[in-house]
Amino acid sequence: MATTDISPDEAVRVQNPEALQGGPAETRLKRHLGRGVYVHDVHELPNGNLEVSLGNVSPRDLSDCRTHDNVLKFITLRDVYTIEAENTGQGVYLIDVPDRSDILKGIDEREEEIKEKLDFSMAQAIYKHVYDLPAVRTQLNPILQILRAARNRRGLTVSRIDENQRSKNTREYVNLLQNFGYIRVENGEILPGDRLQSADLNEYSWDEFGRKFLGDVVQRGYVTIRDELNLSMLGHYQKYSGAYYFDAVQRGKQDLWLDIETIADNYEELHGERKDQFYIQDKIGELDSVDVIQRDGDFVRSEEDIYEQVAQGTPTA
Amino acid sequence: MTITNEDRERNQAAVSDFHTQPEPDSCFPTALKNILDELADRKSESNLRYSISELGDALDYVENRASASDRLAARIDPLLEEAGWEVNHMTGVGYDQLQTIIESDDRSLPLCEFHEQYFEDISQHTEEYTPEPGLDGFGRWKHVIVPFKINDDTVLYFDPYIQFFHDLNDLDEAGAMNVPIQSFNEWWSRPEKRWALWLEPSKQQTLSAAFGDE
Repeated sequence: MATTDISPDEAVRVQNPEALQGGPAETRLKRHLGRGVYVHDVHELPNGNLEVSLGNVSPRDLSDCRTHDNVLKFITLRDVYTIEAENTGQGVYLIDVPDRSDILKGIDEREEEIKEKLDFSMAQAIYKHVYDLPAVRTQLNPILQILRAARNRRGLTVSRIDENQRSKNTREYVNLLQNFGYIRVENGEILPGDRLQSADLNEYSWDEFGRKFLGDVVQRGYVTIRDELNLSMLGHYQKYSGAYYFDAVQRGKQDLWLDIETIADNYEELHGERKDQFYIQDKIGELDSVDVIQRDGDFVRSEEDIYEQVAQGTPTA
Repeated sequence: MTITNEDRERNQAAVSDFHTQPEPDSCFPTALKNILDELADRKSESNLRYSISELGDALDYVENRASASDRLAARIDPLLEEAGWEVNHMTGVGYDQLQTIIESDDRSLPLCEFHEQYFEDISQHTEEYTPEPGLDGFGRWKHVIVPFKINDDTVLYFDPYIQFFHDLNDLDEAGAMNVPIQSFNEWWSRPEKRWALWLEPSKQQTLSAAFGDE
């Protein structure tokens, strides 16, 4: 008493596009492409064909580690793949079933986009806070020194920087600051650029100027700083806070408590690398000290203003 | 006829060795592993034993991307061939048929798939876990369950998420669900009407035995 399996080579026939969602055609797509795949949207194209947009859901354990509320959240990714269904002109549309590997690629790409956005919105939300961490200050020091020299017109030259390089990045910092308009180089001398001379920045003390500057480069040159200039400390802390906020935002729960083990799992999922729990514990401690997260013993929850910013900048579908 | 304590005990004994699914989306390969193991025990047939990851490979399982469930004969039968078994599945299974499959010594336990409505309704039946919809609801995710006992008014089945969330080594009272048959019917009848999968001795095997070829 068994049915025969339908080959994926056989096109799916659809008579009523409105019944596509939840109908037999979607069931066939699910069987072939994975049970998380669903029809998100259908609309008619000018040529009479249908554009069928597929999404994917994946159930995820987003339980609160403290209250053990055992929540299974269905994480949505919209627009992972689009199929064009051919209008035969006889009231029937034909859908060629795509390869599962193409769908998986689409899901990977959407997921990567969301991770990038999480990383960026995390960086924007926490830079003011992590500026107070000694490791971040130390890394920013050479940049601030160049800026200070420029503002005070101390006659600093590019060649002198070359001679006294403390890191191979110093020359690159000069280029970055020049590109961002903080400095200009005239006859080898480093002079203040328009941005450095602008009134708003001049009002700040050096300490606050540093914070302001960091905010500015995070907004305008974050990817350059993180990936090319090797200012690893800037890309460092949001990886750890992101490993917490990822779940809180996905679940939509600002007061979600996670334990260190769950954060370690998330870190691995987001960055493909397993970190020792003691190490994560340490980073969480630093982030707690500058109000990026709240820690209570082995449990971690969000800071309200950070949560709001990250939630706003990270799509949940 | 209602489900008695004896039914519960017998059914729980049958599944007390059921493996917990390692990931929230690995329901299908894990359920397949569980019905294969139960059959292997009952038939003393070691050729029916496969790891969850071997079955996951056959079903093209990818973490967070679930598995495929088309062309099941092509995917699963090669694994069962040596033991002389094969996969069967069909829609439109009646409750009598499902009960026959459950009770038959020559069949594995069945798997059924539930409509996403199950996740909406579950809070009325258990507090063991809470499904929360995403932006597009539950994406019409089809939940795999293993039914054990059907009566006139209730159905007893195993919901793998309960074991998953409670990290149960053994399936205890909490892991089995007992619901009115009307509810079960709502969940089992959509989108495909009462689909079930089970294993049977292969036709080839049955013919050979009938003609005394073995």
